[in-house]
Amino acid sequence: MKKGVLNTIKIVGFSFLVFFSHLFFTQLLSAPVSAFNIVFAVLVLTILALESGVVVWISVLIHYLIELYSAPPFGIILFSSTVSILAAYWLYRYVFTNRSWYTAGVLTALSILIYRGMYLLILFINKVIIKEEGMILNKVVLAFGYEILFSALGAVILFFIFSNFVPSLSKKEVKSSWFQISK
Amino acid sequence: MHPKVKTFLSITSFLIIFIFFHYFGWLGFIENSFRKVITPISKQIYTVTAKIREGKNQISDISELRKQNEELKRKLKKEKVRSAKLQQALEENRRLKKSLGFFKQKDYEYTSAKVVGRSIQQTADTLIIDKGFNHNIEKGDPAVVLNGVLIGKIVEVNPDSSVIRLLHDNQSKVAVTIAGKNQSIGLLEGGFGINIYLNYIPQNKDISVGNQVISSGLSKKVPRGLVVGTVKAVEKEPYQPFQRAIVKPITSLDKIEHTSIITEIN
Repeated sequence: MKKGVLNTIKIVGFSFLVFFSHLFFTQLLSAPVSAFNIVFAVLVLTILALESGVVVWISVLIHYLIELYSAPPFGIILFSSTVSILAAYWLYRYVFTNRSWYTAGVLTALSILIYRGMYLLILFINKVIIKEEGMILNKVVLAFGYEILFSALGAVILFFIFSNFVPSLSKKEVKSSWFQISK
Repeated sequence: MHPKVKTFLSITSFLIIFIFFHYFGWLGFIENSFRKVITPISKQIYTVTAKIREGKNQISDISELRKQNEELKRKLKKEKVRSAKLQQALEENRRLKKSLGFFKQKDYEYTSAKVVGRSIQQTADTLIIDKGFNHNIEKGDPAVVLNGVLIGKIVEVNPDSSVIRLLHDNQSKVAVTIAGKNQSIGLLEGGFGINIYLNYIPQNKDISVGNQVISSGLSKKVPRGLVVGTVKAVEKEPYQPFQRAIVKPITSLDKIEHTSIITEIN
């Protein structure tokens, strides 16, 4: 019971830390580098480090906090991000077979691609049903392209930094995958 | 059923129920509690990042400052004459401010708000302010600074906070015209980064560099006459159905600390 409460506090504390880091870097960096999605980069590294589905719930909490101050209708960011992190977790467990810098980069890029694809689809459906003004698609796609690029690069950089402090990031063996490669 | 499908369905069901709870208002207490915790911290982060950004601009200007220093030394000799002229200009400025006193002249109701954060989403250009529907703010209300300079519109309203979509956001759209003309001349749209574009200008409309761009009153809730910026460049190709212009905002949209939200036009 005590351990469960402690783990919950750790998860909530970590989520708030990532959320405030996201606020800080989004406001500090200039365009187009400000498109760096630190939340997704950190969540992907957390998947690599913990190999646990708890990352999905961390993502729910962080994106719920983001939803409190976002312009799109409530639920679009939360739903898209959670499903994409779940997909990223499954991709890591059953497709990617190691913890390496390129896994971090590619997984981040793929997860954001899924996230933004779902985000655009749900937003489009919402605008058609509610008959709001249309989207300027080419600008949005350009913005998302920069987000994928800088987030993948950022995830690689963060991987190199954190692999010095987080022992599980420097291991090469992945548990419970279809293919195992030992160190 | 495959375990992965079960997991996916259970997570998506949880999310859908959670989202419905939000729209029924059952999460209001939790959300307001989170906002009460987040807003003061966000305000501090905004202040710190604004200072860091200003510091970065200053460092990159040091070599420029040396050149300016030399230039200023030469100009000091002419300072007495300039000072007299400046005094005259100040007097004129004071008179103009009185006559242009925006909210005294116009019959608008407004709410002043402080900016507590910006762009919580990476691909959006938005500001978060510390006033919401408890202060009569509604979705679509225009946000202005100084004497009627339009910076954006309210897109999200909470009890004690709101989100402003800035003019250079890639989803921003405002109907505008050129000062002195009656008809709406085009649509002001945000680009990527800091550019604002005036699109769909008919080929037969006269537009040139230096023209002042104002709101035309055609956009819902945005009254006519709010200043947006000046035309920086015009792209006119005879084979294109419309012209396009690049607009430079009157005020920097990066350094806003206070804003006024027009809540009612009488």
